[in-house]
Amino acid sequence: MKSGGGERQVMTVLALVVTLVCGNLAAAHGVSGGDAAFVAANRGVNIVPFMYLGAKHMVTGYDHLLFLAGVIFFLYRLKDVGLYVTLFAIGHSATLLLGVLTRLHANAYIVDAIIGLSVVYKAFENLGGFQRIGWKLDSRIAVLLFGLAHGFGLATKLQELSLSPEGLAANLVSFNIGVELGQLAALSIILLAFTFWRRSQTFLRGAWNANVLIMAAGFVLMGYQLTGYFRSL
Amino acid sequence: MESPNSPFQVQAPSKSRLMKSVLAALVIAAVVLVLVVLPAEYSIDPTGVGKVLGLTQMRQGSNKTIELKDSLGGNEKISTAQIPDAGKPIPLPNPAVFQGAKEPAKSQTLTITLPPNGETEVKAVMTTNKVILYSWKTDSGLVYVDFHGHSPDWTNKQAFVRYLEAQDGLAADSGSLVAPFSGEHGWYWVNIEDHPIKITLTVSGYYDAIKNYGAL
Repeated sequence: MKSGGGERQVMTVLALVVTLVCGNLAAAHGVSGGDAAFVAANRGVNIVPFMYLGAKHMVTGYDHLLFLAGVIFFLYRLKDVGLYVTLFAIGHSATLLLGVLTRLHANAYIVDAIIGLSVVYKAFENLGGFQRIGWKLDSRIAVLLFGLAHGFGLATKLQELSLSPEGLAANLVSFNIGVELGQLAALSIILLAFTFWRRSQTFLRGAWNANVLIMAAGFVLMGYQLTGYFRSL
Repeated sequence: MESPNSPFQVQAPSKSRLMKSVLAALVIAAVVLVLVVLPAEYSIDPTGVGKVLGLTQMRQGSNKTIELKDSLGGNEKISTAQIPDAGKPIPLPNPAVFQGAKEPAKSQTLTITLPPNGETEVKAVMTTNKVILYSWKTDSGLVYVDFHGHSPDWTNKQAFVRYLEAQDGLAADSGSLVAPFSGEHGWYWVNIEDHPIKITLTVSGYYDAIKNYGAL
């Protein structure tokens, strides 16, 4: 029983490391090569392809997944999961749509560094860090705010491609629906893994270490993006 | 008020445990960054470990580079690009240099007749970095020409660029344009002869539409 729990714990840690190291870092948060060409060449409304791109972006975007893993780490009730994920989705959608439609630009490295910060923040919150230092921000508000940052990140990336104004709004909404579907798919898998893991007796101890690792991953993302930013100056 | 979700929020961790853990996270991150991510992503390899692991070569490909002087659009700071290995295209620093398209380029020929002192405009509506080739000539005599571009809402006069102006007049001209920004790019002509002139213009490329403003 005990060894089984430990095994699962090791697997979870391994999964995190593999995601970080082997995941296609370059394509992480952007839209990858062939897809970028499609987006740039596209004219007019193209609902399903854009939906697919949105879903793919979410499922392969480890920075989003790390943050979401942090968010649902200690959410036991499905109702809470639904609430937090909805808040994140509202934030994400708002800035994705508004960002592209109003052509708001930001530096992609900085936005991605903020997304890394969101991962660190969430892990620190999970560790009870804010209780210790006596700082209080409702975690629902934090999720909404970081959702805004995540959406803005994608809006910035999408605008680097020359998006055709033809059918832009419909394509963006499709993309966004795809993002939510991808998020749902990824979350189901993460949630399933957590459910199994929580049954193990080593969960509490492992949970601490896992959050330390999530925080480390967040720091890696920040370092990676900030280095990119300073190199681009 | 929200209820705390994490058991570590119900009972806050000791200061030393928290400090140690955040420090551990920072150290892990620093190690992973310096040994793995920075060498692989940016070929920044202060320890040399990245080279031993073969990570620094990921971004190198072939070591041959070419200078890209005044690349199209001129909006990129990067002026060299790596020559890709065979079968491994890498994107050029300036996306305007190569652009795939789903459809063949459009082409359109139109003629405008201008009375003496008559003036007109023809504009290609283009998005940033799209390309056109053009060619026009008059049937007899010279026209004043001003080849320029502006954004659709150019009344704010913030985006007006003149590519060519011939105050003494031209009888023909040909060339190409990579749109430096999304908007209308085209010609303003004035008949400076004392007889009517017919202008024949051909535009080919990746424009969205041609606007013929007719005699102004």
